[in-house]
Amino acid sequence: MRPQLSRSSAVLATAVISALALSACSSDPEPAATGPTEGGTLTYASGDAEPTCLDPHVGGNYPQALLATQFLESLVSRDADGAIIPWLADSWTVSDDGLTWEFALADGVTFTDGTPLDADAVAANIAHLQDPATQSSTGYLAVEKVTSVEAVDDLTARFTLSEPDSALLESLSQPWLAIESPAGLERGIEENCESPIGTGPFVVESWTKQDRVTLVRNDDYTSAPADAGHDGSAYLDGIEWRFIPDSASRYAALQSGEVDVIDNVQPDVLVQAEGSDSLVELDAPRPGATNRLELNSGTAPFDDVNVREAFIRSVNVDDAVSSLFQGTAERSSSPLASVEPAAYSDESLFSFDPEAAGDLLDEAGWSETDADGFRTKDGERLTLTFPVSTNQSIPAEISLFEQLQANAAEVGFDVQLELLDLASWYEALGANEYDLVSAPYTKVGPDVLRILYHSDGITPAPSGYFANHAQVDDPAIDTLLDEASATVDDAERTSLYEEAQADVLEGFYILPLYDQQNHFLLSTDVHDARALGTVSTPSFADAWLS
Amino acid sequence: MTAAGPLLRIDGLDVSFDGGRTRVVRGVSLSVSEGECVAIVGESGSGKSVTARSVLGLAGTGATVTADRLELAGVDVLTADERALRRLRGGEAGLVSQDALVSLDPLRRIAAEVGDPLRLHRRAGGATRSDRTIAVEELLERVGIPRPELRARQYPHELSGGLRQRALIASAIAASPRLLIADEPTTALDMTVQAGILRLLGDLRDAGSSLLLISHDLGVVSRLADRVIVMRAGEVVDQGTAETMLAGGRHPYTTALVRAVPAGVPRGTPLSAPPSPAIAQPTSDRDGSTTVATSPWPLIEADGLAKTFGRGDDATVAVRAADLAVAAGETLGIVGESGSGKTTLARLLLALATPDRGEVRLDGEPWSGVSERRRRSRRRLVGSVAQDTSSAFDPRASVAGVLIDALPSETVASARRSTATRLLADVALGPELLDRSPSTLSGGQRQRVAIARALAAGPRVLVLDEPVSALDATVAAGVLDLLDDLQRRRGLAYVFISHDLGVVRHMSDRVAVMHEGEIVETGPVETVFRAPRHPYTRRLLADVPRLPGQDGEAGQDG
Amino acid sequence: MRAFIVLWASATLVFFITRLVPGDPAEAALGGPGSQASEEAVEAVRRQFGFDQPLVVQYGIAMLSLLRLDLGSSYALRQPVATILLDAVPGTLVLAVLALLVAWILAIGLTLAQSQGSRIAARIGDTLEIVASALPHFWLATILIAVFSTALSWFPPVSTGTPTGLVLPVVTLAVPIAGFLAQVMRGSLQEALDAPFATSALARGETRVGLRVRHALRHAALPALGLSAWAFGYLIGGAVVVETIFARPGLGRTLLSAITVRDIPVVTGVVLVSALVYVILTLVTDAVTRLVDPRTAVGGR
Repeated sequence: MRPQLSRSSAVLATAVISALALSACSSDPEPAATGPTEGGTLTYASGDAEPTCLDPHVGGNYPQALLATQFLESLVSRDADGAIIPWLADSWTVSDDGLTWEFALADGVTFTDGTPLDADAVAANIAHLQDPATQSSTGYLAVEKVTSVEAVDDLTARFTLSEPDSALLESLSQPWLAIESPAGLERGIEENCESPIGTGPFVVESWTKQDRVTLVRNDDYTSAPADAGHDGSAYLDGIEWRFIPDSASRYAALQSGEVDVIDNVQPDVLVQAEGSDSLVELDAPRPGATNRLELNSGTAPFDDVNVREAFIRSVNVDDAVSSLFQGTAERSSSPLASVEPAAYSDESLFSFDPEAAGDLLDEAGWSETDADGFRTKDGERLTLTFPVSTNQSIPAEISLFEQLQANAAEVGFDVQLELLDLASWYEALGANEYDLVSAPYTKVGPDVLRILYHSDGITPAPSGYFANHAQVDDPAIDTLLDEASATVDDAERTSLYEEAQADVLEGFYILPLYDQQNHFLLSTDVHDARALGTVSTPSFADAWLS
Repeated sequence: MTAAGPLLRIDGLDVSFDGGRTRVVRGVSLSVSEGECVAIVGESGSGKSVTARSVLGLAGTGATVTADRLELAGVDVLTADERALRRLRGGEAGLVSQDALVSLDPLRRIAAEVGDPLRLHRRAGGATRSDRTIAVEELLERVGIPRPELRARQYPHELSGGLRQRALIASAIAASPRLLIADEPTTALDMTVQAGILRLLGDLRDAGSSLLLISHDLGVVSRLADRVIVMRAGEVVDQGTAETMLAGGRHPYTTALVRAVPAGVPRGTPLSAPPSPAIAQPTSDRDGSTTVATSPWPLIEADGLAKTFGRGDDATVAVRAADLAVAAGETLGIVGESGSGKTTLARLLLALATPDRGEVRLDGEPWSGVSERRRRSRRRLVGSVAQDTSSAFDPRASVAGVLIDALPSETVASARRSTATRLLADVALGPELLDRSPSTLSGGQRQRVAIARALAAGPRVLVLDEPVSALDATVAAGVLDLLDDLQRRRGLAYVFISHDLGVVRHMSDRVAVMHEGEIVETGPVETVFRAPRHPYTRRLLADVPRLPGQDGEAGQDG
Repeated sequence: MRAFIVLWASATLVFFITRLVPGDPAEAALGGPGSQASEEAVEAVRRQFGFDQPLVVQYGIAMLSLLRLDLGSSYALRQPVATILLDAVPGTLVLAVLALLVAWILAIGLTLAQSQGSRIAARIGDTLEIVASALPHFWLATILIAVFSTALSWFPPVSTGTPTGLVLPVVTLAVPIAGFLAQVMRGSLQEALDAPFATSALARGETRVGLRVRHALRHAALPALGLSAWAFGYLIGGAVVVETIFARPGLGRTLLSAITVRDIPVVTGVVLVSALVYVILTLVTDAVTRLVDPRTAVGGR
């Protein structure tokens, strides 16, 4: 997996430059010349929902990933350029037909309960993911094509696949497929949910529900990923991981010094924090898809590509993003996040042109207007149902949708925004009661395109959920995505994915908005914290407090 | 009278409210000497209560009090500061208000209320709690409360009305003030209880306290007062010794007041017309013959009525085995103390409650045992007038509305208003009242409207439950005269319920005495009043306070 | 008996409402809504929790379990509901009790301050009370944090271990209640001060302060006492917002996250606990009222 340099460097650059720039803006930048000091407990306040289970195998969502990054590790990692690098696995090979992978594990690594990291452990973990009793969602999907894992010898694990999967490494780099102690897994799901046992720089000491998870340093830590700042155990004594759902309270806690790091920082807080000498921003967009509007091409009116294009041309996203996000988010024109090396974008498709939009609607037969100014065809109004999840869309984003709604109304679209809670929102989607939806999807690597735009994605999962909300059903795109999944060659894979993205964009199936926002604010007392290149979760393995 | 001058001196007292707009007391002067009992008599609105309270500087919020002189125990009340006033209150003069149920704090024990003055005035025995307890019990005993150690720990609502009032008196005299101001101390009490309280006050006066007694009841006043002051509309209109005043005084108003007391006045003698010996002859006598022919057939009768409320241990027997009968043109008076069951009996007669046993018959037909549907057509035969004039009417209705509502439904719509006017005329009220709200009328006018309403449907029986108890004497007199007149002209049967023996005696042809749910004695009114047979009736009659010179009762004074 | 009916009615209502609301409860056990767990996993969950049974059967099973005092297991959290509730109740209870206490103190203070009769004081007090009782919790919390935490640094915004961390959330909860209580108290206080027994007390030489403290206050407290049972229910509701904003553990937050993922046993459990607390409190305030007001004691005169 050779990295493309163009977009990926931007990620590391953004993170580092933001940190430096902000601290440079302050009067007296703190020099880090004193070097790492040992000791101290870092307090982290997360705005995400508290996980119901700390084991990321169970279910598999971002809050779990945030925590799991501190005490669990995966077979491989990804660096800032997007290249897969060694972690618990030193090296790997793949057969020519793509159906057999062999991973050579790092030597001498033990889980914090003393169990050694060996091939049997890896096999046990994959089995755990595939076991229905684990109720895994994310991890389970990622290893769908894995039929078996054998221990060739103590440190070599052989994966046998039913089909080639060019995304296997990227999948394995995610925290949801982290390797846990088999003995830990055997304790049963209840106990393992309370404190999973891994190889990471910290260990879960206790979990007080609705309050905090207490992590302490793993003194025997030896298995840092290839792009880490240093080998050996962490400098921090431990981490207090707190859950503070309200954005204003979170920021107040940071300002008052009660916590050192906060996540889910919203645009208004970011702008406020810019003026502060004691705070530093870490901007780490999540991988996978960008935040985009998906247009349901499976039902009218969006089954007509002209109507889709008309909608896209009728809204002024650039203006909305810049005014509502106040410079903290950049407009994206790609289906993939900017941290994905394979991301392809085409701005020309998304220029704001209400006149052209009107013409397209005329062409499509929506030439009449009713008394309220909305377009009609055969007596039916051009209505678009847009369910919005208040759990996933921040207030700034909801305001953005309202602005787009107003833009579209000028051209004659009646956009009906429905603010729903998470479960109701999923119901609405599952019942195909939407024309527009914004559903972020976080996954490492461009394979997410297959999940989102392959026609298979229209088939619902057993729970009723399906991922291809745009209901893209294009054999050409399907073929591209299938081939990309099967090929072992990096360059070919990338070019196939680029073609697929072009097709998706030109089909006007989606309206890209911006990267999945993932901002952190840190006290300037915290040094050397970084976001992993996998799912952009913060790692404190190298961090120290001054 | 000590050489230091009267205990209380008031000269030219003026009290007004609303920044001087409403003058309640004008230029009142009076004095009370040591050991003297002075009574202020007047009807509602006369300003007597305000005068009494001004003595303690408690005229009320928003009151403007001025006087040439207002001295209590040598202290000028008008210029005294808060501390001096507090020393006077309870220390030099104690206040006993009416109705101890609201004049004592219901959330505090008797001992606390009675003991407070000891604490506040640091009287001997007020030093420590235990000292106070002993002192409180002594006080309670002194005012005639049996088992004071038990009562002291109780709350006001746990004591009977009489005991409560005694406790209130105890709290007023606890710090041994020289003057006791008693503002209507016996209103709302039963006759027997009233007598006891008056005896207590008399004892206190005999023991050396001065007494400023405020009352509307001349009978009460006659028992205690040395001097009487008559007030009307804020001014003193007459004063003098008790004998002089109670014989009619010098001012016509005093005379009218005395005349308005019905006790001892024969039925048919108007209570409210100007006195003229030639006319003061009964137009009907008490033997039963009247100017309207009546049939002996009872219009309304009851047989063996009984009614119990509640179940099991909480059951209260309100009425047990009551029999009565009233013929047209006849008045049956029912007397009894509170709790005797009179009101329940009234409700049973009106078929507002169902008897547990026995039955009521109206004009020969069953009345109590049938369904309401069958009764409805005959409801108009029975009317009722109750005591409480202020809540008897829908406050939003006009007088016309009230009357028209009560008209039988057959009344032609166009005739309604004229009928209402006629009804008002029947009760001697003018048509200008038709569009006014009842709340703007005086008590007497309201009661007349209530009577008019009761008559609207053309009843033949009226059940009157304490119809004049809440009215001033002169006003009540007018209403009683009206009732008498209506009965004679229309041949109505009256069931007249009251605790006031004098009123009942004046109004009734026959009387039934109720005690604890039972009718203990019935008979022609004069017979019962002059020769009561039942021991309870005797006790009841003995306690009626009466004016000196009431004819024929000299042998009954207890 | 009445208490039992209240609880049963609450349980039934919750049962039907949670099932009528859109959202698949099975997903709660599968990692949350939008789960893409395997077919077998979904099947297993449906069988385990009985979602494949007809609604009436499910209702019967649910009610029977409740009768056995078995609150079941949380779908999402893999713990017995009873454990979850036991962990969460103290947090909310502490907040609610302290808030009620503070509300009473504020209300009494405000009432006494106004009872001097000054018209200006009455006007100010009036306005304060009405405004206080209308303040929404989230607004008040945000303002308090901004002023006392961020600007003045007197109190921490989200501390859970220290007593100082309790101050802001308790005040947030207490202020609206204090507004209500003060309004009610003030009316009763004034009534008491105008009552005949007040005149009697003054006529004995009682001081103005003594009149208020010894006599009127008790009368003023009576309706407020009755209101306190309602206030406690209101507090538990307000706890949802306050616990979220101040990041404190408690029933409110538990309820919120349970509703989000449609974790029915937990939702039922919280509702039942709240209903139970409400019933108990009503009994308690009844008993206290009987203590304070002897007229209501059983077997009066």
